[in-house]
Amino acid sequence: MGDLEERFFSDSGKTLISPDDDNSDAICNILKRALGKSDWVARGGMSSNYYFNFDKIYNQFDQNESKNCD
Amino acid sequence: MIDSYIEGFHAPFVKELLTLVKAQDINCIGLIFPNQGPVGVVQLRGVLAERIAVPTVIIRINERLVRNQVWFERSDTAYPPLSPKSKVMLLGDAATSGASIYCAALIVRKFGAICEHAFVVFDRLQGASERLDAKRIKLFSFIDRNFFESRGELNQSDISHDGKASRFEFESVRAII
Repeated sequence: MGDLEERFFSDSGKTLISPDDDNSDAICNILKRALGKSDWVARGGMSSNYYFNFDKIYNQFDQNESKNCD
Repeated sequence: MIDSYIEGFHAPFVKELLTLVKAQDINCIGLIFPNQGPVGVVQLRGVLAERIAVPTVIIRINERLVRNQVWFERSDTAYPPLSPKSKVMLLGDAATSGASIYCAALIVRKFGAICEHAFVVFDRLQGASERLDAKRIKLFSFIDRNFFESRGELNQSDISHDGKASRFEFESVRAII
């Protein structure tokens, strides 16, 4: 098997969760809310840093919970 | 609603991570501390500690001094989780150029530990996997850009890619560490 074939048939680059996964709705909802982008961009204009701020979601969860308690 | 979403994310995330940890015989997880502060996977440290019996260390890639680059619990100081016997898997938020992951791997390797695997929540598909492969680091990603794209969650500015900048960023890591 040549390099190209080896690369084609290998699992390199494949994600562990596919868009058709049972949990994909939940994962997408959580990650899209948490996704943040750095204010700094590289000289070439590429937005360099992506990160997830899970506190955003957990705070929302706390607020909902306190509303339910009221 | 949101609580079921949280579990719907945590459960598969931990399951996939645990599968990798077992398959690759990992005995330490290195959380990459992002430039933006204690966000992302660092916030998931509690969840990991609760569900995975593998010690975690925090790797601060922006610190210049070696003594400030790796952080762990005070109780671990007698037997630090990062030693030449360690097999470390790096855990990060997003992979763009792969520079942060490579930087963290070089820090871990300075302590004599083996570091050949990395796991990120989000792969932006901008060449990180291929570049890290060449440095003997296999990148696993939980989701990638196609996942968000297939659901219409990304706009054009998120997808635009400056290949030259990310290559330079990656190649300049050696000079920093």
